[in-house]
Amino acid sequence: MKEQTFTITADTGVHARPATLLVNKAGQFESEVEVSYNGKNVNLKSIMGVMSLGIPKGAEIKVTATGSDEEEALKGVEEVITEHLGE
Amino acid sequence: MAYEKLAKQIVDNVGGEENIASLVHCATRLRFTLDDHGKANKETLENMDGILNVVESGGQFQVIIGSHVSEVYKEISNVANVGDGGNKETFNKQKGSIMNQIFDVISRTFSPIIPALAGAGMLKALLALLTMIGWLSEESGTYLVLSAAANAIFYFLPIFIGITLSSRLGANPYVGGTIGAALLEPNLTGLIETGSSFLGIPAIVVDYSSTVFPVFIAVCIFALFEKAIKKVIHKDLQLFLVPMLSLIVIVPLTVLIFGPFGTYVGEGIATVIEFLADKSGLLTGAVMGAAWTFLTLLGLHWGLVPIILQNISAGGDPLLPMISAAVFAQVGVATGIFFRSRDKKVKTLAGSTMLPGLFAGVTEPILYGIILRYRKTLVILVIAGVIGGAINGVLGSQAMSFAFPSLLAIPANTPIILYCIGILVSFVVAVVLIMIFGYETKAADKEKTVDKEEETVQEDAEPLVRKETVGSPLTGDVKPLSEVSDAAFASEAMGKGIAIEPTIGEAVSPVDGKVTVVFPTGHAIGITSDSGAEILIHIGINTVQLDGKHYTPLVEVGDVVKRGDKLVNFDIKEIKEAGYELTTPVIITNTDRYLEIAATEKQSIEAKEDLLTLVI
Repeated sequence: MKEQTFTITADTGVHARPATLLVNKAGQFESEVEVSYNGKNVNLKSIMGVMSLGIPKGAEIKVTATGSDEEEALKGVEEVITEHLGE
Repeated sequence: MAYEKLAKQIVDNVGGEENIASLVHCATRLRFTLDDHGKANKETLENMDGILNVVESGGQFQVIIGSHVSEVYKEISNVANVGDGGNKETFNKQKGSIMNQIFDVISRTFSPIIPALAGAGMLKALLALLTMIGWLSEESGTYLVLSAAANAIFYFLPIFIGITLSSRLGANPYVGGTIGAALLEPNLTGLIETGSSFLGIPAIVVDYSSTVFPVFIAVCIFALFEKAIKKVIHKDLQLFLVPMLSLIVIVPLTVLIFGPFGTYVGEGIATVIEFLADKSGLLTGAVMGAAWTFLTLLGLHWGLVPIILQNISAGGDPLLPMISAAVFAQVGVATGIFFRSRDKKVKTLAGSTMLPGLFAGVTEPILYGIILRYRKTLVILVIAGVIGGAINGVLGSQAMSFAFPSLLAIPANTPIILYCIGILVSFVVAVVLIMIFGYETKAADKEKTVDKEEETVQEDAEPLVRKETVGSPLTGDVKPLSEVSDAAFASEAMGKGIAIEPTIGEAVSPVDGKVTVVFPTGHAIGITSDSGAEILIHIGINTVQLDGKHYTPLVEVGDVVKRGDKLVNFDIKEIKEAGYELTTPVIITNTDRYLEIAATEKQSIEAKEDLLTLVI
């Protein structure tokens, strides 16, 4: 299992479009990928799940990947976040 | 458009043209089969503008573009030689058997013109009726004008088929139509009597009006030809050179080869049948009753007409009554479907095709509009046709004058009573079998679905098919998802669904369920229905930027709601004045859970009315 924390700096937080990018990216990997915020933990492969967290600007989230390609999965998610949601 | 640049970049980043084994596309993605996936730069591609995502799955390297993928695909095939294995229309991955594919091509070729065929057929029936009861004279101007209107589509059938078939095969439809038209051009038809030669090769000119087979062959060859020469001719010259060469090559080939070939095949079949008729009435009747349908489908049935006419002049024709069995079986199928179907559209189709068939013997609408769509009916058709045909064969009914089998044409046959027995039996058997066994194969009718992706719709779905209807959360105009200006939605990357342009600033729950998402800004609501569907209602495009202004959520995460319960109030005027579009995608985010997601065909809808149908 690998995990990493990120801070969302994008003004609009994790809304529909970035959520889709994250979910699509997470979906490319075999590993289970989860994200937790504010004490809630959801499957990062579900758009509904991600959006239900209502992650705003400034939020600190933790992404966890478990599986054969957990390193790549985490890296992939990191790329999406860095590109679209700030560090 | 700027797709040329994108196309080149894509090709470069998948390892170059040499690395591409084949490329096809579906509704939103380019699907490459690469020789070496390692040569592709996935990350570079993903970060490119114009590319939503890249996925490697099922042995394919998929580049998700969005709904304009076909244009990008075209540009790519212009800059690189990509083998796509034949058809550009690889929307449905279900290959099915060869028979299925052939039937699919035939039925899709005719379906666009079915309304015209049905309308014209009805008009023909009406005219036949009016002349029979003496209200209209066949010499009157009125009759002639109306009869022109009714006959036109049958006469010029090769043109229409040229257009639709080319379109189906991915070739230019109007060039295809021109090929069909060339066969009917007066100069050509003038040669029918005398014959002529082309470049020294003797040509037998046939009357192509109302024919199907010659045009079919010609257009199939045309589609292949066009595809081949497009690869070698420079793009800028393609505009006129491709059509010109197509016409120069295909039309003469048709006149020299395909047309006569089609005619000979028809005549050959006719000879065989005549032989059979001499030997056994029962057998021939059964065979004719069954085969007539297929002959008509392929347009080969005209080959029998000379024989029939000849028989009539010799005293009486036994074939026409056998054929009538098939015709009445077809009408019976349409009638059966009319009574059995609960779908308004299907009922109307069946009803409107019944009448031309019954009164004028015009059954093309039934054949192409119904029978090819619901393949199950073919079996019923054959059974009914065989029985009725055998009866007429055995009882020795004969036609005394040539008329398309129909109610009005009954008097043309003798002995009338015996003839009626045969056709009545066919009709009744067909109706009864349809009522008992139905007409649809188990999978839901494909024509209704919004599903244009490659998901294989199983032909024989398991009996555990459950349907869930999702209501509309808004009142307004319905738009397909592909018209939404945000690619994240339009590309179906978030799931399948539909969009609504609201006219009332109130969103209500589309289902009974629980609220799972209320985005802090109130513009996006997620509901999970009691049966597990995850529905995302995203009010407006980019409206997250309004940061909640003009949106008033009325529910909280965790609330249990019923269909119709208010979710969000929003101020349409203010939001639009702030410069935002209010188009609201309604997406099923767990699309993968469902076999099919079908959207309403209505163009405007009220809140709570059925919007989507989900099939597990």
